[in-house]
Amino acid sequence: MQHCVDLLTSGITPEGLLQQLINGIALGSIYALIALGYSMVYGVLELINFAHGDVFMIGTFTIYGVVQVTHTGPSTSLPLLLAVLLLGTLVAMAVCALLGFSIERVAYRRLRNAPRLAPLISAIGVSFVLEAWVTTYLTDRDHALPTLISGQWPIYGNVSVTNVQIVMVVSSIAMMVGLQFLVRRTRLGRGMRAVAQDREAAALMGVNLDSVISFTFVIGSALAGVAALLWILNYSISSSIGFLAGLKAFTAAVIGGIGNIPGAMLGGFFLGLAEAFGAAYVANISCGFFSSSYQSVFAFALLILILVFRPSGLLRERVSERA
Amino acid sequence: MNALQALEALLHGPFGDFPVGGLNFGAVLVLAWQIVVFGGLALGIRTLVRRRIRISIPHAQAVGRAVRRPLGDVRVLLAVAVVLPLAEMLTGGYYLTVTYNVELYVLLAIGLNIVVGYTGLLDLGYVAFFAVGAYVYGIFASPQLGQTAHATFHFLVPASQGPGVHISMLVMLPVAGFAAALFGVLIGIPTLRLRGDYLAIVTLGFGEITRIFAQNLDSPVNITNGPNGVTRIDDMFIGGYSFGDITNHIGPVSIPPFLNYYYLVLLLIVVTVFVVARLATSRVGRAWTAIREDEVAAEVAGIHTRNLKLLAYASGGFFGGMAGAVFAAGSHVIAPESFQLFLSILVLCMVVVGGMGSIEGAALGAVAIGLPYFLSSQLQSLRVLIFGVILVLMIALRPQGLLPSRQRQRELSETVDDGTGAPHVEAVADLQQV
Amino acid sequence: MALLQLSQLTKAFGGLVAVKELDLEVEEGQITSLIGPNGAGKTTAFNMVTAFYAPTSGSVIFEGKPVSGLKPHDVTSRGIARTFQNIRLFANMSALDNVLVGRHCRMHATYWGSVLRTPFERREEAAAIEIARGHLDAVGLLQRQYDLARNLPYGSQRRLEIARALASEPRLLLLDEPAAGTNTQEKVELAKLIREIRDGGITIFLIEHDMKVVMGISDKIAVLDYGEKIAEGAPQEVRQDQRVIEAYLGKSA
Repeated sequence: MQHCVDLLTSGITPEGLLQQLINGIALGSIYALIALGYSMVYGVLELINFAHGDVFMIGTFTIYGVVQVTHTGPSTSLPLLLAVLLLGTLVAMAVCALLGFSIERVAYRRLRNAPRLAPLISAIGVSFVLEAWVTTYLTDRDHALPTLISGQWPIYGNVSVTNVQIVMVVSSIAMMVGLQFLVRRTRLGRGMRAVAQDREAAALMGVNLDSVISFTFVIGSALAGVAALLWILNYSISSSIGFLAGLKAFTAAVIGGIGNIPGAMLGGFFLGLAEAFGAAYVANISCGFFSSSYQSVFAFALLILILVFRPSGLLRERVSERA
Repeated sequence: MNALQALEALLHGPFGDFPVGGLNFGAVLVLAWQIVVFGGLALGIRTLVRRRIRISIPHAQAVGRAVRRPLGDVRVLLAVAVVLPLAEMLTGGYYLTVTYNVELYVLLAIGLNIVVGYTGLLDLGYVAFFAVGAYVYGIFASPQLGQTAHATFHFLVPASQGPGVHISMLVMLPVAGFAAALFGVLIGIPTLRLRGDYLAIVTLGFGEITRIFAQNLDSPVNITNGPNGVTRIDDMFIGGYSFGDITNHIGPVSIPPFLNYYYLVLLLIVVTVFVVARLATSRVGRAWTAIREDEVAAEVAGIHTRNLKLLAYASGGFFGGMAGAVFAAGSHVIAPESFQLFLSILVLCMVVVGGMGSIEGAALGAVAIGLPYFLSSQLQSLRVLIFGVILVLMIALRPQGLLPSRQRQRELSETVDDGTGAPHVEAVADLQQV
Repeated sequence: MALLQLSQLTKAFGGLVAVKELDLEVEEGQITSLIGPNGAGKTTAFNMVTAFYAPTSGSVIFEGKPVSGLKPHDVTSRGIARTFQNIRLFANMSALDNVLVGRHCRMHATYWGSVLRTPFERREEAAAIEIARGHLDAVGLLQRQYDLARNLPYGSQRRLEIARALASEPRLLLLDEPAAGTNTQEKVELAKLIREIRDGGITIFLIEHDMKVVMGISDKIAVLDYGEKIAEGAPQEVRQDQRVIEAYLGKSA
């Protein structure tokens, strides 16, 4: 018993909490960017695009490839480094966008009016193809970039924010603002909102369904390309990262209220924080019964709790009859 | 060359063993007879189980008889299923192992079909039931519990290595089944309100959570032995007859362990098809289908949808759990990595490819996907790629599956309505399902 | 005492009051109709009777006992069956199976009974099929008992839904716009069918837009407008009620 009290009192410090807060927000910004892709597609097609996580994974390999080809390393000068990363991100965005566009054409378009199980199975199939393709023909090992962006800013005690974390949060928020503008202020965005409301009616009103849906996939996938940059600045990559990252991002989208852009963002940060705090403190709270190896369980448990108790998500009611 | 060598040569193909994961002439032969036997058995037993009700329309009677005629075939098919493995055994036993694994897929597909095909609950976490059955058997039929008891209560269990618990399969098979069924109910309760994609993703979550727990429940009390898994699991035994005893023999012929397991699972498949087909043509199965078609209307028609959905999870879980127990016994070792999400999806695809809501479709799908998948293990990740491509193509070209249930088949084939109100031939065949 | 009694029944969705303080009695053995313009709250009232919605306030009393707190399937077991405004059949099941599903709550075969196919289960199933065929015959669909529900013409689907509802042996049958989308001939047959059901001892509570049908068969009519009852009485009285003419007939005539 005393052991449990000790764990609770000594294990949790203000510095630790603050550090996990920062880590959680940084991690969440990746989830948020991937979640946007899920959320947009679900909003328009009511389809869980299982392949989206793997599109993201392909994006990480694209950036990795660009960095390798240009021989960029920690010794590269800062302007050149930034240029390479920017180039890599743009290429990754293009590759992901093209991939998303093609996937929709090949695997989903015919199935728009099929029973709901059909596109889901098709999506799973595409996901397998992408992951297995990388494993078979590219690499079946883990790869990581050396630390390219270093430096950090102390905040409080021994807590600090790294430059990478700043890049992550800033770029994800910038992307969301841009996306909001696109959806709220442009003609295509209006088309997307119309299709999300009622596909048939939108088509009758002259919205070009095909191009709106293609556009949705392109934008969502391009955002996954940005997420790929944030990922590779922090973590190693392998063919299997797409699945779990995708699943967590989907969870984030559901938490925020699927089909809702600020919601996906909020859900991403929420999930990032939950994972960071969960992994750091679960042992203290559960008296050592659970350990950080249960980290993935938090995301799933959170997903289940949200779906069961608040299926419309945290932000907004947008429950469809069919969901 | 004697007859045996000839047979061996035939099975391993005139071209020898292809390097492509054993996909040779022999494999094709095995595939062919397995499709015939398992698909046929399922169809035959289902036909057997149909109700013989009085039919008031003369035309229907004639058609009914015609439909009933292949019934005799069940006996033939069963005979084939019993005898052919003996031939396979003669050729070295590799294909027997393969067939046994395919049998497990058949069992899983039929079980999942209850949940997905009949009741329309999209379950992506079916592997959890398989895992629960496997672990329940593994823990109660291995030294695992003895070791744990010693480690936890060493003052009570003095032996350096406790003897563990070793309970007979006659007890453990149903226990594993019921444990998985109970697990199905526990998973089912929170998901009752969810539908479609959301249900799929939540069941997927439960499947993964189950695996992660299996991976981590080696502390604080060692229940599952963590990532290393449970080892030294007993073979199934009845009385003094152990399935794994290589000295078993009938007369001069020795019986390899997998032959025992093959017959055990064959028996389980026959019983399962029998039970499921009876359920499908009863008050319970009708209610399941009604829930699949329109849950709201089913509730208003007086169906206790909550209980029936839980019953579907429990039934599907039961068969998955039994399959898990057999798997644990046959392989002697179980580890969390045997229970990946991929297996759930593989089995789901068997059900979908075979044709949702049809028992023979599920059996057929299990053979059509399971066998090539199993045989191509040498291809490693490439087979997943091929599998994915086939999945996408299949859904695009034949979304109703290879052998859809007759109801759906009609829906797709019906183009002519003669307007006289006379029952169509296929409609009359439906009658037997009432 | 009336078979069904709605007192001060109110349902609000957020700020929108769909049904407001509705008092209505459905007498046993009669055909009682609920009419009113679109969006007047008729189906909402039905949904409260079948426990689909919980009332915001007020009560639904069936055979002297409140319905609130029950699940929809309990309500069906208690003897209230209904049809839907937009037909909700089990599309990929045969007509016979649809009706058999309707009988579900009057059957007692258990899970294990079905697996073992006990003599009781066999007898019950055979009897249920006979009864279901009787209901199909009553609505004129016996010839098409093996057709999938989705393949039936629209009018037949409406009648199949009634057969399914009858299979639960209701004491009260709620029909939500049974004549919608049917032609003149079918309407005549429908009116006849509803009368026959009533004469068979089943009380009818009807929502209908078609005035010929309503005026022809109803024993009592209640008129809803914006969720409030504005008139109630015999067809003749309602027809001449000034408020009804203004609120409803006046608009559509």
